[in-house]
Amino acid sequence: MEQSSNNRTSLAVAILLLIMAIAVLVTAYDFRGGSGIFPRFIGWIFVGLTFTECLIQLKVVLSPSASSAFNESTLVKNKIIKEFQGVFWIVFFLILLYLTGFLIGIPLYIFSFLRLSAKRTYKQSIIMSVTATILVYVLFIQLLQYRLFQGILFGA
Amino acid sequence: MRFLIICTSILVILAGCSGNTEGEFPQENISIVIPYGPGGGFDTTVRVFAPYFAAQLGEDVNVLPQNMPGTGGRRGTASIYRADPDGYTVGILNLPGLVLPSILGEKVDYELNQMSWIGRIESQDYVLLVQESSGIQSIEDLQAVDKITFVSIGYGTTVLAAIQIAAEQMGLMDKDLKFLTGYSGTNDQLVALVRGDGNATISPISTAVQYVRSGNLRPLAVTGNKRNSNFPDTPTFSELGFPGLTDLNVQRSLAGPPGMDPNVLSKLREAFLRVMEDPEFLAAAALAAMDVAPLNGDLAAAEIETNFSYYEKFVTNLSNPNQL
Amino acid sequence: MFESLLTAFSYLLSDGINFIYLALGVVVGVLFGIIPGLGGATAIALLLPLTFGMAPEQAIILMGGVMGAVSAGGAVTAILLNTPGTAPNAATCFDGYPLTKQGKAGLAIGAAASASAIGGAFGLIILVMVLPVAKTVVLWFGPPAFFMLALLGLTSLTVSSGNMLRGLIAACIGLFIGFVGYDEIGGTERYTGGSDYLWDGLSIVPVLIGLFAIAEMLVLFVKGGSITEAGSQSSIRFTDTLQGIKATLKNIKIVMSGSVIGTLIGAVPGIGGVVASFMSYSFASQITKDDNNFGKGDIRGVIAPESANNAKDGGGLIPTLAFGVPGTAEMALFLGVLILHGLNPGPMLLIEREYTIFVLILTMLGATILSTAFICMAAYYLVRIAYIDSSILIPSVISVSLVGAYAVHNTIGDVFAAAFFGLLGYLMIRYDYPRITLVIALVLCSLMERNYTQSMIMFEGNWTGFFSDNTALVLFLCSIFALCIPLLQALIKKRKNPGGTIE
Repeated sequence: MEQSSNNRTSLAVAILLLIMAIAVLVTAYDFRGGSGIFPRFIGWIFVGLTFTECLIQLKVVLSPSASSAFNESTLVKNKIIKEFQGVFWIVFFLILLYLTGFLIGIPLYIFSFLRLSAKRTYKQSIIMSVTATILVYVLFIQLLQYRLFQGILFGA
Repeated sequence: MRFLIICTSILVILAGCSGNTEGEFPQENISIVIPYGPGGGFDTTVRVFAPYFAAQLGEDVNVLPQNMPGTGGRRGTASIYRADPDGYTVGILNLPGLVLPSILGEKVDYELNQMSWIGRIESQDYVLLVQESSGIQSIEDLQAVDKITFVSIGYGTTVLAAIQIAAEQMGLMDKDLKFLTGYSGTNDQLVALVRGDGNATISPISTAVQYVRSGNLRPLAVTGNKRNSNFPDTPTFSELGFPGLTDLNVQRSLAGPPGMDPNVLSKLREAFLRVMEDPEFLAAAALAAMDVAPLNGDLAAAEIETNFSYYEKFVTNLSNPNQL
Repeated sequence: MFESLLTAFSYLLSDGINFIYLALGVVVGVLFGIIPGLGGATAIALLLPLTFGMAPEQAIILMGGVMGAVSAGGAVTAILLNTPGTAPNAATCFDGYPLTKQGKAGLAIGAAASASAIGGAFGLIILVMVLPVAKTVVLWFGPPAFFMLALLGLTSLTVSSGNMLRGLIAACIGLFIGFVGYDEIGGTERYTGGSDYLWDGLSIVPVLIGLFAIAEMLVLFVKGGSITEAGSQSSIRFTDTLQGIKATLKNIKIVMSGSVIGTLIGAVPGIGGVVASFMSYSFASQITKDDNNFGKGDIRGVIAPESANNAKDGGGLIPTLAFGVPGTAEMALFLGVLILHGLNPGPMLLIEREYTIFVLILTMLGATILSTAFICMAAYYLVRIAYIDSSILIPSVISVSLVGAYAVHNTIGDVFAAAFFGLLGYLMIRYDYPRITLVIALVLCSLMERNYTQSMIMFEGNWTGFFSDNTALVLFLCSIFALCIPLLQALIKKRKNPGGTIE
């Protein structure tokens, strides 16, 4: 995948990781007994590594050649919109699954996705969502005798 | 045409989702929840037991084992406890495994005394082992050793509890005593002893038999009231003067959620007892090295209290030995 | 020993139904391998009831068929959809998926399948040779040695993953993910926030499904189109698969090294196939000097992990048969099958039932070959998946992946975990942090920690004790060596090119 992250975002990521490292290290000091030994050991290494990464990224950002700030800004913006959409669809699916389980969640999700995001016709969307669900049903429930999650609305 | 396909498919799906019909118990398949992963002792026991149980319950009924490992057995047990008491979900329970967390001061999501006990399948005794090459022939010899390291699986398990209680009863607490815990299974623990990571251990008998027969490990004593047929020359702890260790064992019992219909429960109990007398089941169990020691539902339930009072006596010995 | 081998061979050929059991096992194995979340262990668990009426040897044939076929099946999804069908197939994604993107899926599948067969066969041969000394070898590895072995795995993989600093950071993230859960030795819950689901820690399969499958589906969503852009339908030919087989034969050295690594690592209980395939991948990457395209569609990056993958099953048998200590999860179940049929594993099994063991070995050999043939023939059709438009592919793959994630433990929590790691995986791709070291660290975490702590208990806090254990010392030196390899390579380059600059 092409590296579209520019240097400032790399620095931001590094700082975020450093904060996380400090957080887990501090939490590790609260573990009683021997549970904390190894996490603390690794925690210090983690902090050290992320700190080094921050310094490196900082150096790159501050150096004079780092002027490639926001080229192709509209393309980047479209990409970020697409990314949020992608995340949204996954979260949507998760909520559906949690509430209604697999057998209802899957066709609803596929139908919505095909209809709204891929802009396919009603007929195509219904067919594909039902087909996928039937495949899952036959494979997991009938053939393998699994009990798939039923969703909390239906008493799981 | 496509419309027809869609309609038929929807109908098929709905038909598959339909609930159970009314009528005599049992009408549909019964699940036995196994609170451990596949391949272990509990798993094997259920898989041997299930088909014979199904045979006693009726023509069309299947008994399906369902693994639900997690939280050291508590997750599966909690799910049995919370299941619908219609008789179609039961599970296999570990005593004293499920009693220990309460004794050790942890919160659990089940009430053993409220569950509907069907019967005990197995009761496994423990054996005290040392390396064959160590020259230790008896408990006295062990007591004479200065540095003793017991190998064991993790904290919170019945094996470690057994080791801690035995160490105290055998008077080893004043020695340079170490508990090397954390091995991931009883087999690993025994291999560790063979390897020499430690010099003694206690393990369920069925797992240990192989290692004794191959000459790697030597048994010093067994728990329980009688000598074990696998080690006829090994005395029981009570013969050697340690009667306090006789009650150390691990039991595998069948139980359902609380509040089951008494008719349903008695049907299950009767079927259970018939399986326990079925010679084919007993043959299959022997093949799988199971220690069948049946008890009916009420007696199996009574073991909860026995276990509880036994382990409570030793609660001071059962703290985490490696909490630094 | 030789007579047992012959007896086993004639037994297999004696009854036609044996072949049917083998074929059944293979078909089930390939199917379960392909579907992410299901795997050899699940397949064996499901087929268990079927074995009740069978003779022990027949049960073994059925199970051996499954075990030999699963990872070959898993390679297919790894290559076509960047979704490892089983955890050990994760390494096959690294070059398999790029090959699909270049329109060379058939080539990759042919190479993967044949590498599986040949690698698996080598592994079984090594198994037979090692079996007599198996017990001794297993006994060499105590807690200090296991720790050093885990360390070796971690260091060698970090070295080969490119940006070392980011690789190590990803490894730390992986270790902390591994810490989540209840710690047995110390008795504390770590990083669980009181959640019941996290009590047992995060299991590897949902994490892998998220990091590789869902993350790639996100990438595909953002990018649009289909997985394979280059070329049209007409460029799928059966000969692509044959080319793949040829490529494997050309790179037979890599197959052999992968096989050896797979067998050895598979023999170490608790490490599992993921580490075997990753290490084989990393090793192959390091010994390939000329046009090393690992990570971008180098066919050798498919051959190496797949041969290790199948060899690990042979290796996993070593501790299983020698001591009844299962080398992998499938072995744990297989032990259950053995016990059910009265074959109690442990030190006596090898002595008393040598012939049965050979039945198993021959079955697994047959299974790898059969599954390879099966997959190669099906490849022509399977490859078309990569040409499906992303709008259909994405929701389908995500749906099946999440069902698979659920199927691992029947917990809805795994589904959420997979989704979470999908997002994390996407971010890691986006910001260029290697996922490979995270996965390895996660897999090795409990092994490292448990053995570290046990060793410290053994040495009473004195860590120089590590160096008094011979096996541990040797492994430690290997780690140091692995860390120095890039340094050495740079030095050699400088020698060859004295005037030039080195980065």
